[in-house]
Amino acid sequence: MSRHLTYRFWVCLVAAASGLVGGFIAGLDELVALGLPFLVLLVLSVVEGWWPTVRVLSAGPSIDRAVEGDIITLDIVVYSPQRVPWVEFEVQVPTTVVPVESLRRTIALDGNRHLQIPLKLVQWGVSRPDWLTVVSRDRFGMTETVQHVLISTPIRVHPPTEKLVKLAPLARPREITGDHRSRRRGSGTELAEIRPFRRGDPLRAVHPRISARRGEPMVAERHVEEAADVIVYVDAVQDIGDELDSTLRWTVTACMALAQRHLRSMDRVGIVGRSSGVRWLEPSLGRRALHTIVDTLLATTTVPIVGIFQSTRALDIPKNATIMAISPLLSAVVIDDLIALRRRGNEVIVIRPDKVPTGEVSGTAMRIFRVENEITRRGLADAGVMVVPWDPSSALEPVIRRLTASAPRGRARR
Amino acid sequence: MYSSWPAISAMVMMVVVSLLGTMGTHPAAMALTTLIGVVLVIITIDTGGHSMLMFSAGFVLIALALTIQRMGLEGPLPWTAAALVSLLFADVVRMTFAERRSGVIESEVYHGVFGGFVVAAITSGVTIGLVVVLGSGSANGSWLLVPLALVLAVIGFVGLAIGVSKSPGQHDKRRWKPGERLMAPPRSAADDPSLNTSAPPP
Repeated sequence: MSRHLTYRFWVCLVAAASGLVGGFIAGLDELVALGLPFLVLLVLSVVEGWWPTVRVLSAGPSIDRAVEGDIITLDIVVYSPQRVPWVEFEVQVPTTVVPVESLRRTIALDGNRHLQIPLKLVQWGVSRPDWLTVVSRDRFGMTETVQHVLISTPIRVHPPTEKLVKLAPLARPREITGDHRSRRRGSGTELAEIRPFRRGDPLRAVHPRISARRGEPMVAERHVEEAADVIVYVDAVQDIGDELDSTLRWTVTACMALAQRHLRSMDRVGIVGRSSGVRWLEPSLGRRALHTIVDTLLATTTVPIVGIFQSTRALDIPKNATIMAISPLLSAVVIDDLIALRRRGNEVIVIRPDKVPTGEVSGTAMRIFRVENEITRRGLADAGVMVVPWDPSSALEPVIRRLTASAPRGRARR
Repeated sequence: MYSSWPAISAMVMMVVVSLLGTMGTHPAAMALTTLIGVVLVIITIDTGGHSMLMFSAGFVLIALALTIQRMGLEGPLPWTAAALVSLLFADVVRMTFAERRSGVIESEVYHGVFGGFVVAAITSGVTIGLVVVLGSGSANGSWLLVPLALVLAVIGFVGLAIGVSKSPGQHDKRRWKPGERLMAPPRSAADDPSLNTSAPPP
């Protein structure tokens, strides 16, 4: 908090002094009359009181989670024990937050007051209004008090994500019940085949209705439903494109949809976030894991990560985990990572946003870009990494369906 | 910003006093003086600078002083009126500063500020009237100056004793747009943690 005597005070002081002293010395009533209003202003301001007290009781967003495009309010509660005729509020916001109305308000305050400033969240990620500046002045503008209040509550802004129906095909499920249909037969819900009763089959496996129709004991075999480990690989090495149409946004949106779908199916989901370093979230299950994964994805930026793993070699990735990477495959670091992960024995599937970022590009540069892409794809295919193109402007669901359809017969799918 | 009523009022006031002050002189001088006055007001509103505000109010006072001299008005009352008009002009321009960066001002603020001006005007008028009335009855009308000067000295002493921490009015001058970090205070500069949001830290 800083307190000031304003320019107005000093000008009034000098004008009053000049008028009165000059009039006294020169014996001119006119000079006295000129300085008198300035003196009256000073006296009245002293009588009213300088540096009126304003306390900011709280300042924070109305909610801490929202979706891109939502409008929230910044709630400010202030209090003053006496009447303050001039109190200015100004909020500073980052580029990811846009004001709906004015960010600057001047009010007269007496007692408690609750202000609401509407803000629109235009970009996914972790945002928050930064600062609230409060300036209180006396009626005559002789004094002012300036306070800076830090707004520390972040708002987690989710991109609008697609709700996937299909699960990605996974090669090696775990021995845990889930939503993936296994080639093994056992106590599941999906019918595999109907066959005659054989010695060794449990009696309860006999299907009474089918047996009555066929005239002999028949057994309905079902697929076992299993869960799996899924590691979502987030390519945050670069972010090319416009704010709402960029490679990082496509990546995070798709990762979020995949993570949410697989967690709903009782799969354990982990995150490998690659920028200059590697961020690792071990595979885990449940609602808590979902919140942690979503928060990690929302906080993903291309800012260098310091102090954690520098490569994927040090990560304790389960051998049977399937790695789903969403990446435009523009970075050699990412390509090396994916090949290294495949060589460790993990199944690696890459969903590549197949859209050229906006900007003027010459025909030659475009041809070189396409040739490089093809070389990259073939190199990854040779290493055993499946690359599937995806147009970010359309849904992810058809890509997952295509993956499932192209999976080898008997692979766990749903 | 220039279409709000405080801005229009300030420009109208400047035009009127400029014409009054140069009435009877060469039309070119009248036009030039008026133009300079309006430009001063525009610059003051555009920059939000309190020093420019004082300069513009001084221009108004000079124009009124010329008007008083040209019209041959005698006595202290016209001079008090001139000072009050310049103070009113300064208050009107102060309102335009609060409208910068799309600021919204509640009506109670206007009532408070201009109500204060009315009180100051009445008090000044009554005081100078008393000085005139009481002073005209004595050989030396300046005897009231002594107590007034003492009051001024007390106020000046109080003001100097409290002191000024830094140059005021910086936040009015800011040309800040949402997203810019112009003159953003560092995070360590948050005042009085007890005044911060009561929401728990993330």
